[in-house]
Amino acid sequence: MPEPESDLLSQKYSTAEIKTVVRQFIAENVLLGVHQTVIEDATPLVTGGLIDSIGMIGLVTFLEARFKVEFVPREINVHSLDTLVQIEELIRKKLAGREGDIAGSGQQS
Amino acid sequence: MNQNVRIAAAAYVVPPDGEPVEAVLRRESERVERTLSPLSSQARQKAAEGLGLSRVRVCGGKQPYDLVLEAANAAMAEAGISGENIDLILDYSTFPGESSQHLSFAHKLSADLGAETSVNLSFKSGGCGALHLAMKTALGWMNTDENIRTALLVTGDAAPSGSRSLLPITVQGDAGSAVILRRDGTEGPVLLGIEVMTLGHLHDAISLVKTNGHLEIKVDAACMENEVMPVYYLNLFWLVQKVLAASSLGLNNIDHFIYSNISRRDREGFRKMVGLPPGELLPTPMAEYGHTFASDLVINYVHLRREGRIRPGQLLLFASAGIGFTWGVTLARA
Repeated sequence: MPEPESDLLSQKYSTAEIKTVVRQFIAENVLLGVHQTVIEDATPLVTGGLIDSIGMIGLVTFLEARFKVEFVPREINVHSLDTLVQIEELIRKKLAGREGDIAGSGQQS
Repeated sequence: MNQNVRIAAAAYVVPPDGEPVEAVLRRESERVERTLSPLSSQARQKAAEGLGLSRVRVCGGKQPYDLVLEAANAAMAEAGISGENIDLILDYSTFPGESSQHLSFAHKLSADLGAETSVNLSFKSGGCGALHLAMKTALGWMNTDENIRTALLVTGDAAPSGSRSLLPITVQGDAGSAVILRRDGTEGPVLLGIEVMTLGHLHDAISLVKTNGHLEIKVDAACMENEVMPVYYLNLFWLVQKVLAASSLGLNNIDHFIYSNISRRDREGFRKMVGLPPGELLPTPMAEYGHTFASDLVINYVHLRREGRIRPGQLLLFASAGIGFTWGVTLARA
């Protein structure tokens, strides 16, 4: 019997893993090796000028595809996506919300 | 879209008088300093760089309504219609002039153009994103009232006195424009889709306030930088994807991108967003006109046509974002 998707999601990403995956994406795709900045957990990405408004498209598209979550416009601002810590927190909330949705739909069926 | 609605005609008018952008920024330096003060020194320095604007047109003796009336007459002549053919007039001016005597351009136009049976509506919303709102509203009327077959959409905008600088974004020039939409017509690009997004929590990013008895455009530079810019291109990108997907098209199918004249750096951002190679977003009269809010798209469309660049069957994608905050994208096939 296949594992429920909610179990797979929670097993799949630890806090550190989410940050590692996002850090790697930013370093390789947004900074393009131009900035030699080390991306710490609290490095300001948007307010620090590392990610501009075009870079946000790539970042959000990546997060949606990689973690299979969807953002609504109001969620995206410097308060929610400025650091790896904030990004991880938002992704975790999204995944938890998805798990809740999946569990809820499972109970109904 | 099930309807066959076409952009039958478009025209714009700018006033003959102009002013160098440098002179505007010098004259409004105190206001500019005040506006930019919440920003970092680096962001303040960047604010006036990459504008790509040399001059702006200023109303002087003319009123925005004069520009709108002239543009409406030119568009009607192009479409080969008279006032009695117009069933709907939508005025979507954002800054119709501090000393405007008219509550609604739409109603006055109805009288002046002899559009005696037209439905007349003015709404103030959307800044440079408002053309999409107006077109979508017109489509709604056409879809629900079989008597509405021809719509005249107008905007006339003039900066309030002493409020021409909208740094860190742009510098405003005055203009009026008119677009005629016709249902079941045969001339002009057919509308394939319109997508609009508004975010009310950003209403204060650019607002109109009264200072010492005069209207002033207030730009909240911190809000623009922290709240608007992170989603500025992202929201446009989402809308572009949505409108293209609805027609089973992709960005590489688009022949002409018609985007606002906010600044050279903003147009560069849009170019990157849609993945065009450098230099492939065609030049516009931006340097001479400044940013004319929603008239920008009309100006750029008219110029593409005048230059003979738009050929039958080509796909046009209009995109803009502005006050509200409002994002809009319109897809049409010539």
